[in-house]
Amino acid sequence: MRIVTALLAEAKPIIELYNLTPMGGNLIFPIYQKNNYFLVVSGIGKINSAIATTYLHLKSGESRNQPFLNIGIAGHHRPIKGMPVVANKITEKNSGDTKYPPQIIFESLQRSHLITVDKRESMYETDAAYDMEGYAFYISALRYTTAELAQSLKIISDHPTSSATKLDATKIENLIRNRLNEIDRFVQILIKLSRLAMPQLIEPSVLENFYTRWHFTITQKHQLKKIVRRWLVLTKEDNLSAMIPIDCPSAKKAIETLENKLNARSLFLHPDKI
Amino acid sequence: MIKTVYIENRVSNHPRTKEVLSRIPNAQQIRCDSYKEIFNPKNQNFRLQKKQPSLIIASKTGERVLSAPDGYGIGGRYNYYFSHMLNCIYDCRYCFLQGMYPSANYVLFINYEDFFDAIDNTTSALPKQKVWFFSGYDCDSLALDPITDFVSILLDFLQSRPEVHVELRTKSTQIRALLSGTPNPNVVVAFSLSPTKTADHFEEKTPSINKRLESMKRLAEHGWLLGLRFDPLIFDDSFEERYRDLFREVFHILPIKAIHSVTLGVFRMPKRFFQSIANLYPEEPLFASPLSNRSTLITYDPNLERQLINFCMRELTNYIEPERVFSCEKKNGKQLDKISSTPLKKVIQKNS
Repeated sequence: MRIVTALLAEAKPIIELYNLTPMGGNLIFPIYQKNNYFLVVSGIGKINSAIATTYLHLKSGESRNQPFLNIGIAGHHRPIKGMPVVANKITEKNSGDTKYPPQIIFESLQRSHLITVDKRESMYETDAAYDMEGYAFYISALRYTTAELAQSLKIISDHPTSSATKLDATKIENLIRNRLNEIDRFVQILIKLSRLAMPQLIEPSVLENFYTRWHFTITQKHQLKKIVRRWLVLTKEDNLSAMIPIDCPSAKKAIETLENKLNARSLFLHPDKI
Repeated sequence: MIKTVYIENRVSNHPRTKEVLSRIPNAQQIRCDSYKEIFNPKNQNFRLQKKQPSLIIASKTGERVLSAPDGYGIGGRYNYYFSHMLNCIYDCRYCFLQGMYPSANYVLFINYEDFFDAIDNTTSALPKQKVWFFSGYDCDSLALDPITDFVSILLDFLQSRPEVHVELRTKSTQIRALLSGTPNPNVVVAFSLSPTKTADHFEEKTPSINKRLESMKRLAEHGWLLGLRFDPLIFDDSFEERYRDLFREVFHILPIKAIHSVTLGVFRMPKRFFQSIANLYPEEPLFASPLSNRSTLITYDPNLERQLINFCMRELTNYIEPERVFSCEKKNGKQLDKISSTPLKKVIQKNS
């Protein structure tokens, strides 16, 4: 899970929720981590958000298709202070460019258009939420994950008749803290979905058993991976290198042997037939 | 259930848009300039979107009727296809749409009349010819009909156009519009059918084979012509048993006289689509079964393909005359993805 907040006050309740601790080293942005949960505090504004999102991706291992979630406060046209909303449309006010985060998660959370502005607004003329990072976060996250897993969840902090100038760190923390249940539910669904986006079929050790016995060219490694994948899917057996005779002279022969043995087996694609 | 509807600004006031929206009143509505903003971005995951597809209401611009590939047809010489929708509510693991489109969202083009104009233009260029139009290539023709109301509007259009022949391809039981309309002898309602176990494993969210057959029987009783589409044929060691049982069941239930045509085709997919889909579903046994890379297609090797087709042909001739059966046929390693118009009798003679 990769979480991006603009302010430390927004991050604090989430750091506590997941027991995150500061990542060591000389960091450009503060990052907090536990297991596969990472959180970066970007600072305010589009450039900060875009850079911090990329930085988080790099510092968290560069794995593709991890869930990315932007959490923070936002103003809104309507008086719905304290309400969490998920962005269903994100517009950069300056350019008018609009993106549409796919809507595949349906909890009880409300949806809203999110407009990302350069300078703090107070009028909120369009029926939308307003922030200063969402668009940049989304564009940046899309480079590292699939669109369904890049989402923005905003807690509404102010509206035209309740100015943002009255907000302080404690109030911001409380706004987030009061919605931790919803935030956690959303996070857990994203994590669950991300497992579908990166199905890991072959344990590296299965291939390593072959690599230690024979020399494989790059092409042969692809061939091996393909036939091993077929074996695993069709038979669920993973001790494949043991099927190759001890005196097998080459990687090519090993691949052929696996192919021949698999093709000689019965094929049933309908499980109750097995 | 559809929970999100995107609406192109230019069709937001179209009466049909309002009708569609009234049928899904609880969905959130999001405006957009073009359906392509939502549908086309590359970095989308079809498998994830299949969890909760959205509907996009749009207007189709550009070519609305396209020539069918050479040899695609059920006996006619002039063959075209059109798609008033992109994508399908079902989730069939073998479906090429998973690899063809970047998004699993449904696009509904509500400017039906523009499709009809394109059909008229096509037929007027072919006076006195029998012209076939295939619907259901990029979608299921009937599955979303309770929301789109496309079929009844199409049937009204066809009433005064005897030169236009249409195939509606479906796995759906949404046949209300057909049952309440007058049967049109130029319309074939073609159902894709697989053995029950195959459908259970590979055709998620579809009506069961029994339900499809019930619907087909009702349509036949009402006077509609039916198409049987055994495509894709999926091989494993239970192949003969599965398909023999299927054919027995189908022809036990359906009156032969209502059957306009039967087509057969083995599992096949453009290589590029196959790779995308196999990456989406690496754990899927179908994609690990013995498949060959044949030119631009991933399919069974020629010997296996021939065995499967021959077996089905032999079985089918127990029930129906060969003139009504068409097969997907490999031609010298090319055109593997096209349905040939070669009647079964000729194929059998050629193979014997």
